[in-house]
Amino acid sequence: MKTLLSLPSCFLAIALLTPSPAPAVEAAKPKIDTTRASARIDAALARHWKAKQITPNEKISEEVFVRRAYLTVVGRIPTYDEAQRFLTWQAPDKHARLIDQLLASDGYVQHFTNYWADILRAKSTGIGGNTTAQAYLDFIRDSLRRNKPYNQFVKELVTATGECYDNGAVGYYMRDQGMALDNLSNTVRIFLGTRLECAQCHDHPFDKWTQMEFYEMAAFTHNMTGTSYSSDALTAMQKAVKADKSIDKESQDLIRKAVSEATRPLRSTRVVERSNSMKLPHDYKYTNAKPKDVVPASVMFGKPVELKKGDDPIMEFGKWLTGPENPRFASVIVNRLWKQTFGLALIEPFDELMDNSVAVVPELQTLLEKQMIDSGYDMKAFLRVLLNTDLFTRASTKADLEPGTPYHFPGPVFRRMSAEQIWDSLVTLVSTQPDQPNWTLRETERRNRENRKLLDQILDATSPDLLKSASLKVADHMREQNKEFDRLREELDEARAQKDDARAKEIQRTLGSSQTVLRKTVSKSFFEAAKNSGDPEVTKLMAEACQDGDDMDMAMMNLMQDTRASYNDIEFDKATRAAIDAEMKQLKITDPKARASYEKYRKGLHQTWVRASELVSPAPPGHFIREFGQSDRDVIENANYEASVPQALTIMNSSITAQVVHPWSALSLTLGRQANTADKIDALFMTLFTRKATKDEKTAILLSLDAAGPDSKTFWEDLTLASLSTQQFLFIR
Amino acid sequence: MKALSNEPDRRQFMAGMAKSMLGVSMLPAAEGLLSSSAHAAGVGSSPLKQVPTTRNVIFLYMTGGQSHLDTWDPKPENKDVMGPTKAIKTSADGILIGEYLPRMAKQMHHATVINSMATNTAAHQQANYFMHTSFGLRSTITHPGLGAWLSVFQGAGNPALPPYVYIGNDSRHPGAGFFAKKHGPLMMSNPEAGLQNVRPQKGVTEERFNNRRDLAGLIDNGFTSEFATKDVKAYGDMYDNAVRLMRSEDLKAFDLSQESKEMRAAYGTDRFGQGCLLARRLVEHGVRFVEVSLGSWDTHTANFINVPRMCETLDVALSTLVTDLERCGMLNDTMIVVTSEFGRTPKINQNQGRDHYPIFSAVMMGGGIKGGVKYGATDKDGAQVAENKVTPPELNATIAYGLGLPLDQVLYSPTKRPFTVADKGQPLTHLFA
Repeated sequence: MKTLLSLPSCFLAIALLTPSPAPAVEAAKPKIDTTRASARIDAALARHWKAKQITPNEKISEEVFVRRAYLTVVGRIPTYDEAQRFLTWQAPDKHARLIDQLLASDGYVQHFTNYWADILRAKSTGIGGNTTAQAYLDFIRDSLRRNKPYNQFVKELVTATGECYDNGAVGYYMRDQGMALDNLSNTVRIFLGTRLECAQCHDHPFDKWTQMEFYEMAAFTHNMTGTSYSSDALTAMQKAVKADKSIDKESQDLIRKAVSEATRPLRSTRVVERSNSMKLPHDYKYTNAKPKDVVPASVMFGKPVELKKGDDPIMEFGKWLTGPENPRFASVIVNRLWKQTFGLALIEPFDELMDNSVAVVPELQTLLEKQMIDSGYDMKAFLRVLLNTDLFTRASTKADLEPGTPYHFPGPVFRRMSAEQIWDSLVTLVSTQPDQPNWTLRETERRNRENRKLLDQILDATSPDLLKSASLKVADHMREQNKEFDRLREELDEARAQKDDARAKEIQRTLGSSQTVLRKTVSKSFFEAAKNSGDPEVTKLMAEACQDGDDMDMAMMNLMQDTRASYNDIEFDKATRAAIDAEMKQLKITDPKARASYEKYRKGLHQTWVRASELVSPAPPGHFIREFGQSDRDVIENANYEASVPQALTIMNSSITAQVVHPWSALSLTLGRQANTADKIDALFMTLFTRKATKDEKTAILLSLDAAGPDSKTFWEDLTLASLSTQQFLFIR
Repeated sequence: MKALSNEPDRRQFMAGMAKSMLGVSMLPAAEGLLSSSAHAAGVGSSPLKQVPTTRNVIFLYMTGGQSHLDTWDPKPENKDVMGPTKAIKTSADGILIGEYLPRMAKQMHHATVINSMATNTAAHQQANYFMHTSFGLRSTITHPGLGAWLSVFQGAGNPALPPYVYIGNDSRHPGAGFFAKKHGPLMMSNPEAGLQNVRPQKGVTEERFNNRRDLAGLIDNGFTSEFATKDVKAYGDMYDNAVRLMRSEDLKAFDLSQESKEMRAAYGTDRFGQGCLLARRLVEHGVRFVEVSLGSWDTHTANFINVPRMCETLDVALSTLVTDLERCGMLNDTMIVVTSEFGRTPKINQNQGRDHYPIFSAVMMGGGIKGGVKYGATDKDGAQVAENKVTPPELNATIAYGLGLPLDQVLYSPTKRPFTVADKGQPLTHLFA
């Protein structure tokens, strides 16, 4: 695994463990010359400043630079060692080299996964089936890791069809299952910076778009449909059951239910492109057409698209959307990345472009679009250019931006860290391997996906007759279960009448487990059917399902249920092993029991103290990250940066921040390595704020330490928590 | 909580800033800007206004789709529909309810029962969202819950406390929707846990806590004077307000241990019961909109075992809440609403369950609502609305009307789309005494 810590002299270098789904594939060689491109941006800005008589902000110190670079590219503050290494690094081109290292690291993938997940509203759970939701997030992660060209990334999203286990991009349409028109509004807003949602129901009141134009555009995309597992064999079986007069009505219902139980884990796992024609709504009120008229596909601007016979509408749409002739496609992405780097876009808001939208520095806007296109939509190459500008080395503006006044970029905009940046920065204080992947979660998701795929394949390969016999078995089981429900209800009534609470609870419990019993019957029956088919293909698949030597019943259940990977399965790799040994040596942990306990703690960190994008995402309501404004991902870019009392309470009083002063935390290890009190104060400041303490601060702190007594165990805890509950920790200067 | 109410303009400011900073022309409306101009969006909404009849709302949400037939709309004449469930008489003439709610049967003289609720979908998420917001679920916008509208129009009842509290486990609650986050509910999954993080960390004495605050001031001094922006000041205020809250008497609102053992037991020891008790305490302390959810009522299987179990919890908590509010003299200015996202099928399915059904019931009590009244009706099977259909927007408009909210006031989302509370639902004014 590649990590950003492949810099010299860092013992924290290697992530706990590794199976990256895909190798980091860097573009062979960027198609644009970074130095020249950065210089052209600075020159354009300089001309603009001159014309507007703007004095740029002063240059920043190396301390501010390294903190800003880490936060901007990898989304967290640098660790003590990382900061020290940069500050003592003698290379004349160390800025450029640091930027390269950061862009090549996993930290970049983790940070920008949050960014794109907010834009694309990707969630780990709750979108159609969770399997699709997770595959979707994985698609984003993997695209960033490969540095997939932006135009290709977008085209893959908007043209995605198939099953989620083969193509995670289908999450893009599954996200808006049953809401094809909303989906189009979102597509046009995200990628073309154009607001169409008003025109869904009537002509746009503030912009020029008509409802007709909306429907013409939707004619390309409305057939993209999120759906569930189906197969010819299943359809044939259901037909046969319907035709079979010997099966009574009740059994027919039960059989339908049995099938729905067996395919439940495969709900909302596929996207297909249907071929219905687009019709105007029943209440269409304009004179240029009648309600329910069929609308041909047509694009709203740019190069016209004419669908010829045999053309696939969605592929033509994808080409148009991401094509070089689409004037707004490059506009939006350069503004996005500019804003990520400098805090404000050249056109605000860039997702509400109109014909008369003008960038604050028009020359720069044109230049950036050209650079983006010339680079082959290489997002990393483009970011590299921005990060190597003179602008990136200037101080951020120390005053509020005045509403109604254009911002001429004398420096970046001063802003609060995002919720994820705050959390990820805390992670660097707690974990010595802040960028390590959440192996358990990734592996659990991967296994579930594989299992669903196997289930899909096994069902595919089972004949209608065998499917029917399996369904009948399940139906029988349900019939028996109903009889038991009757009996239980009578018993429950009786128990209640006799005020026998224990008995009543017992009955409730039995009832509670009935669903599990039913699932077991379902999986058993359907897999037996598959086994009986004798098809060598099925036998092979079944063997695959049982490859870990699980017994057959268990393996079958696994394909239908959620499985769980355990962190006990993990072996530390060599470098991690060495790091842990060094840590234990420093902490003087020698006794085997204590060693085991430390190793357990270290393993545990990879599930809890990892980057926001390695956790369930978005975090559940009430989690630290949500408290600080992480987007719920229900609507596009819904994060917020508002101060709230629960935030202050969390920092000052929660068990979360108490972990920062745990004796085994990364910060405690750093402080423990310092020779004397003054160094310790500097190390604390360097770790939290990426700067040394000023003389005055040191004097005051030493005074306070004297008052507490030189042996005070609590002083460093208090100083650390005090440092955390400051504004300078939360804001990016 | 102070910061929630004391810095009203930040998001509005940010939104304004983003829009006006650069090339794009400023459009007429931004979030929070009230528009009095007659816009198409306001047309059709009710101009009715009245002196508010209620100060508070306790909204009890039956998650998962409560069977109307086994609870508020039994059909004693129709065995096929009822299965083993029987109807019982209540303290209100002519109102029958399901036998699993015996305690509530004695309180129905306080209630208006609406038996003609009808929604437009039988999918949980969509129907839940529709009931909470009065709007259809879309993926381009999130609409606010009713408590958020109340907070926007009238501010917090007690500036030291959140304006709106949700006690339950629904992570999909629409909350503040497109309004600023401070108008959204404080989410509490465990009513007994109290407000989180209001006490110093373990082992941290008052003295150490104060010492930390002093050290923080010392360390941050240079930074806050160098970057004296509104955002930085807002965070400074935030810490001050948090410390003030930690020392505030109002924190008691969240502390159920202040209640007697008997009172806690009377509400039921489960989360819903304790949630209802907490709701009463919060309302007493000035929180004006509290939602408590109970679920799941999604009884596809074994309806006649699961519904009695859920009803037991509801019956104990709700009957105690009504009598308790009456005892404190608060029932007159606290409206209790009990409803769900939809009802269940009259047909009992092959698993002795009931499936999703768009017809259901709601119960309203207190806060100026007439007692002992039945409004609307379903047919003999409980399958169709026979008279006076009521939709979720109409129910929400009725609640909003009781609170004195302007039903025709157009507010704009940050995306400049116009909205009114309860989306043009007409209030059922004749339900008020």
